Amino acid sequence: MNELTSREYYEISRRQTLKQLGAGLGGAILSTLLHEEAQADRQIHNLSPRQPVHSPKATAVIQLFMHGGPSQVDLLDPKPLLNKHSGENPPATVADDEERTKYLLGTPFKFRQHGESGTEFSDQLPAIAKHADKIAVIRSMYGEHRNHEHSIWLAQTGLIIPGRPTLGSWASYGLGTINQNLPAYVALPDPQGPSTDGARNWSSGWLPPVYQGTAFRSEGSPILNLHPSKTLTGNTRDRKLDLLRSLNQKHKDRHPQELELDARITNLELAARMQLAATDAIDITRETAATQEAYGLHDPVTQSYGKRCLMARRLVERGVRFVQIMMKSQPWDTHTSNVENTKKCCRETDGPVGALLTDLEQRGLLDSTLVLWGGEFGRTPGAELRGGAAKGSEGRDHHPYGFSVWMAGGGIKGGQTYGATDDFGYRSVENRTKYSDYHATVLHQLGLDHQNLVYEHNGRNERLTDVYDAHIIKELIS
Amino acid sequence: MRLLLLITCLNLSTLGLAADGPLVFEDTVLPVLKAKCASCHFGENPKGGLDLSRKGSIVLGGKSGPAIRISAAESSLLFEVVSSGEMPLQGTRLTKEEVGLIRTWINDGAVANDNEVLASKNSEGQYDDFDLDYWSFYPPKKAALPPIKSPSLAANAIDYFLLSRLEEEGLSYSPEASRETLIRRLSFDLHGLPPTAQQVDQFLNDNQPDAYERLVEQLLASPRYGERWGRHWLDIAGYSDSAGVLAADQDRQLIWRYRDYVIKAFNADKPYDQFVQQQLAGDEISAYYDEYHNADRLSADTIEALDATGFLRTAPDSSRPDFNTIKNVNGFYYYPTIDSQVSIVTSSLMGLTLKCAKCHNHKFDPLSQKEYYQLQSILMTVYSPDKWVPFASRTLILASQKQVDAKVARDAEVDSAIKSLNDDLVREAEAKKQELFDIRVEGIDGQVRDDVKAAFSKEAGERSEIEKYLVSKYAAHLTPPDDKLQSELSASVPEFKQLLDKTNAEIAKLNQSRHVYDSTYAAYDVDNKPYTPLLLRGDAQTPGQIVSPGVPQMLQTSTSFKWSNESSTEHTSGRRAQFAKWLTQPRHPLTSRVIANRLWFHHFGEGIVSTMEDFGWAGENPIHKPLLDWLAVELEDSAWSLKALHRLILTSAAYRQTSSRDSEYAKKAEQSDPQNRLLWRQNFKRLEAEALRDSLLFIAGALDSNMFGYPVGIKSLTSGEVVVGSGDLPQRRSIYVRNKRSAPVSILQLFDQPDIETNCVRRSQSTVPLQALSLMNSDVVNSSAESFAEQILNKGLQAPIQRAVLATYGRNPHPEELEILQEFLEGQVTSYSAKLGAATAWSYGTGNVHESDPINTEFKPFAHFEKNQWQLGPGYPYMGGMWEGLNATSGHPGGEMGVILRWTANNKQKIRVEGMVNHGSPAGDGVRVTIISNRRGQLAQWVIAHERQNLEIDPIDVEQGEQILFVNDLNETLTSDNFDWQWQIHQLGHDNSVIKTWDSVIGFHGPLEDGIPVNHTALTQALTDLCHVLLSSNEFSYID
Repeated sequence: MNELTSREYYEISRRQTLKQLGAGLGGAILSTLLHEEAQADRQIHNLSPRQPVHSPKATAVIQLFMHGGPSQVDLLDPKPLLNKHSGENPPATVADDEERTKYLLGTPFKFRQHGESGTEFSDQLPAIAKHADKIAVIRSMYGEHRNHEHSIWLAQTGLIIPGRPTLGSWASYGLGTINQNLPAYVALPDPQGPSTDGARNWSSGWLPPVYQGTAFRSEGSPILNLHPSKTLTGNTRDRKLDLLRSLNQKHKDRHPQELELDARITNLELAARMQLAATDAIDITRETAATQEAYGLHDPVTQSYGKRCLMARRLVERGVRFVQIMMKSQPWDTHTSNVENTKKCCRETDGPVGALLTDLEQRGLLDSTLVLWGGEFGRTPGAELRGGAAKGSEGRDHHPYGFSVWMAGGGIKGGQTYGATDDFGYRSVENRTKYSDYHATVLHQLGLDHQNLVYEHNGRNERLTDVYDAHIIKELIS
Repeated sequence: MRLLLLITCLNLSTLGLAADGPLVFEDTVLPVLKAKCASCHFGENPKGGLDLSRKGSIVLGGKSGPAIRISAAESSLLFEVVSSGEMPLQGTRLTKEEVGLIRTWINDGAVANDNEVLASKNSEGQYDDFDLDYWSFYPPKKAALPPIKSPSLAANAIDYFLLSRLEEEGLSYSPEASRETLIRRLSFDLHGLPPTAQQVDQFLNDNQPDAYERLVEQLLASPRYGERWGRHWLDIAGYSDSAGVLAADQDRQLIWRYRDYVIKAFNADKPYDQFVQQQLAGDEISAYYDEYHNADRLSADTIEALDATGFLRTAPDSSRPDFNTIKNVNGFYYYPTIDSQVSIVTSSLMGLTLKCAKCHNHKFDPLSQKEYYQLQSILMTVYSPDKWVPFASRTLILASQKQVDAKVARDAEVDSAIKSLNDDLVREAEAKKQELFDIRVEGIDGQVRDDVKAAFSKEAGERSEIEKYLVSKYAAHLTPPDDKLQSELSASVPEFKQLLDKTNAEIAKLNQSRHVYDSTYAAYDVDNKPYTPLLLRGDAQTPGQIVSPGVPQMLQTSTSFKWSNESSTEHTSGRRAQFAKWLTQPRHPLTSRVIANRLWFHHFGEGIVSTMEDFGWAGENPIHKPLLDWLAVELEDSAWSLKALHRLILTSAAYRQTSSRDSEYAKKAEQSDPQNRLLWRQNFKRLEAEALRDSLLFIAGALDSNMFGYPVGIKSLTSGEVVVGSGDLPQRRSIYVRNKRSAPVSILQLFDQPDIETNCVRRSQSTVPLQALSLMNSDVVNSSAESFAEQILNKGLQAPIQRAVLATYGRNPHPEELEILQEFLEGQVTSYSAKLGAATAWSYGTGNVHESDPINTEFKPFAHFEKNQWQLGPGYPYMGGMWEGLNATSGHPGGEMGVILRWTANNKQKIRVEGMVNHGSPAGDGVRVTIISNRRGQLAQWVIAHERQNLEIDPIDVEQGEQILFVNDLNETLTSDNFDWQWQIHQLGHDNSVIKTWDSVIGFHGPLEDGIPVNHTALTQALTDLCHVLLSSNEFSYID
């Protein structure tokens, strides 16, 4: 490549253009332009609502993150040949790179077609299957790493390295929030314990911390420090707030030009309102008995996940931009007894997720709420025999080469499957979908352009899709 | 093996090959490619630039990049296109077996006979004069001071540069700030803490002409300076106490030594060139290797230099010893660590962002991909993937070879002596087995003794059912197994116990005689000639040509970087030492400019170059370049003294300007320079997270000023909040608190403490409601407010408001402010007093529950009060063992007696009792709490162990003079019986509404003087509220 073509090869940034223009411009004008550019990065970050770059299909996202990696061949990607050849060695074209698993392992679960579209779902997902015509199943996802953490980073932040902002952070950075009384981005961790990689699942990485998710507890006070720890009676407390307002106002009067102080003063009022709004948002006792029952709150198995699904709906209804529902540890990580463990996870989540879709639809929220279901990877179609597992109690190992996730609502064209794995479910072969495609599509639905949603960090314009050749998956969009 | 498996599992292979070992390109894959792909992809001008005839050209690839990723077929382009059928475009598709063959060949390491690596031509940049024509690539030059119209405004050279530019725009400086403002600004800038009332007073009344200069000196000389500026440095060094990668996010045990090195270096004003050299190559430039091999011990200078190299060990990395079993581990784990470290070195020391050059030539700067790998190669001796040292093992023992040898010898001696002592014990125990049996069997109940003897005397097979039972029941007692034998013997055989104690004492003594040395977390060469390929597209699976150490050619230096294999010594390659030398040479284009700019940034809130990590083409072209150069050269010429540079900046008139924008002049200046880039005023700044937290604690008198050492622990509460230590005060400065990447301390994170991914070159700033919530409601602010109010009251009752304002804002309250605060305080006092039952209702003593008749439980008042606590006598525990004590919020029962809080009813009334008891320790068996009325007996009793409980009893009617006793005594054992509690007695109206409340915490008091309690009155509570508001207010968080 000669010099000229190498120049052409690289995208020329605005700054570079300015520099080159600068050769013919007066130095002062050039530096003024560059200063404006530099100053634009020095803003005080907040969550005031921002216009999307194009008209959005979705204004909110609910991410149902299935920690551990659910098994595609047992749930969403039927493979008759896998069942037929169950117990035999896999053919050469599909074998997995590292030979971590042994023979082909069919599924005992039955797949049936659902809805008018006839999308196939396993009998373990009966409630979700009822929404077949709203759901687009992507059967051709593939990742880059077979470790949980690395794959979670890829799924949530775009690369297999730690410390980057999550999808939810990018959404809050791009859009802010319309309800200042609640955070823009809420994570609903499992009260039983943290998920693999803990709070990093909703970290803002090097984006300013204002864009990180706020973890809401499902019991007691939802947000840290929401209420005074000591019970102050009404007027002693009000007097404190009044005094604070008055001191801040006097300080501001002495600094009339410092706009940041206005933001701080406003935040004090917002904080006071948040005390009411956040408590109300998670108060599911305000829901009818029928709704509570629909979400499975009467059943000890589904109660915990159901509660968080219901909270998610209440939060989205109130304008929260991005809600993440997490599961303790990594329950889908079925290295042993894949059948039993997968059943258990389905039993805990399927009903509540079905209820969530129904509820969102009935309230007219589904059109504007994008629901995302999936884990960090899938599982091997081959049997893992950890600890010398016997027939019937085989596990499945981590599998990033081909797996399934689904999306619904938020302008997604339901009733379809997209892409395919090979005959045995090993490898994504048709319409191969990488996480950057997935992320570009989600951002697109929110009215954001993955190529222009950038943040300058250490001298580089960073974006969620990094240097990947990412494509918005047009087929998924209605 | 791979192929055999492949054939057998297919059962239909027609390949007819059978060989052990990996497939070889020329034998197996080449024929397939020749048959199916040769028409387009073989020879001189292959399609898409991709020639498939050689392994080298396949790896190098064509326009779409490398065609294979070695050992990773799944993500290899070649495999993707042939398996999906996308290729070949014409002709027949590859058979499944052929595809399988290619997959296996790639996954087995793409072995070939012809292994020539083809160099990537795109990786060497070709640059013209325009590319190189950028100010920061050339050495700084000290220009003559420009003429200015009003030299009287200038305090030093800095002002000449700034004023000359301002005057061009028809502007000038703003007036000097007030002394109150100056001392607060200086104190925060240099210490990250507010000035004390005494310091303010002294400065305001210092009439000497050099009062300000002396203040600067005084602050620069304080150890708080190193803590403040060390924190800035640790941001750019990417310091964290945890490894960062994987969910476990393990601790980096010894990295704190590097943190301490940094603090000490700032405090000692270590010349910056030395500071940089030590961090990059402390092991190479010190006498370490010589001392290690030849000296008796390592010198203090050497140890310091080794600690400094922690700088090269900050990148995220959690590599474990078992990682060598992971396939393609280099790309997945090792290279990301190396790349992060390169990024840290270049962005912090050189102000260059090279990340993009990892995959292709830099887009804006004349910096090639090859040069990136040349720089990487300088660190490769430390981080060689082929000789990777797992992160936890990168320590160096701080001892010489002689010491280590002596230690090993001594350890062997001790081990052998201990072994022989233990052997003796085992022999002795064996010999005493029968004796133990005889002694113990005599202790068995006479009725079964003979049966037991008989049972044990028989062989196992000959015992009856009853005898079997007896043996199983008594075996542990009479014939203990070997691992229990010694403890059982010492319980029953006195002479054995003597022997055991004696031996244990000898072993302890022997262990003490071992030689113990500290270790440090250091960088050192593990591989003298590391394999350093250029990675095509930055991918470890597509290695290209080998590169040797080098530096970017665009940087014009008088001494060029010289390194060759001859620079190596026997023990270390010398790569880093050469690099450090090159980087710190006089008039290096970047080194002194970058650090001068950093100092400027922290003093003015903005850098002269605002893109502090990017001095290249894409960075900012500074308006005040001559000033930056002047400062850079001045720094070098004052022996690289950072304190000298601080002094220069701080004593400039520019620094001393007011930050106010509230004047006619300011309004005019605002028109022509709204961003204040010309510095016609100081900037208004917000406290960073650490300064905010440290200052809260400092004002509250709850900042522990201990320096250095192992980091203070953090705790994740069930609420999700991460607190320092156990959350109690006092606490140490934030720089000493464990920085765990996956669990940042909540209050610090909320105020923009950066998430350390690689490093942080400039913090972002956010304003969100959660910050307000945290200031209003978090425990750390609450308890700081309490402690603050206590501090004030402890020093007397005069002018508490003035003293609170002075401590928080560094100034006296304005008259109308004082009025508002006064009014607030009175309002709160009235409010609390009205709602509070008299504090004298409470009294404090000791006693035990009268178990058979609780009404007769005796109450014996405490006689002594000190340090806000009731106890039995002076000193705590009194007489070294009497733990009985009660204070406002907590207490401790004694071994013989419980402690009692007593409330006496002033009238006949209906009351409800509620409270909280917390037994926080995980040890011990908890405490017992009993509530007794002296008229009606025991009302309730609970045992509370290792938890916090909210307690309540149903409403009762009490008579005038009736006493309610809250008795806390130990539950069985006196271990870890410390507890917290708070009780509230609510007087209820007819509708059960609360009329009045006696609160044991708020009403807590010491000895009464004239019947008035002296502690914790409504005033304390009210003043706490006032302090809390001051600490939450904006003025506290901002610097004028």
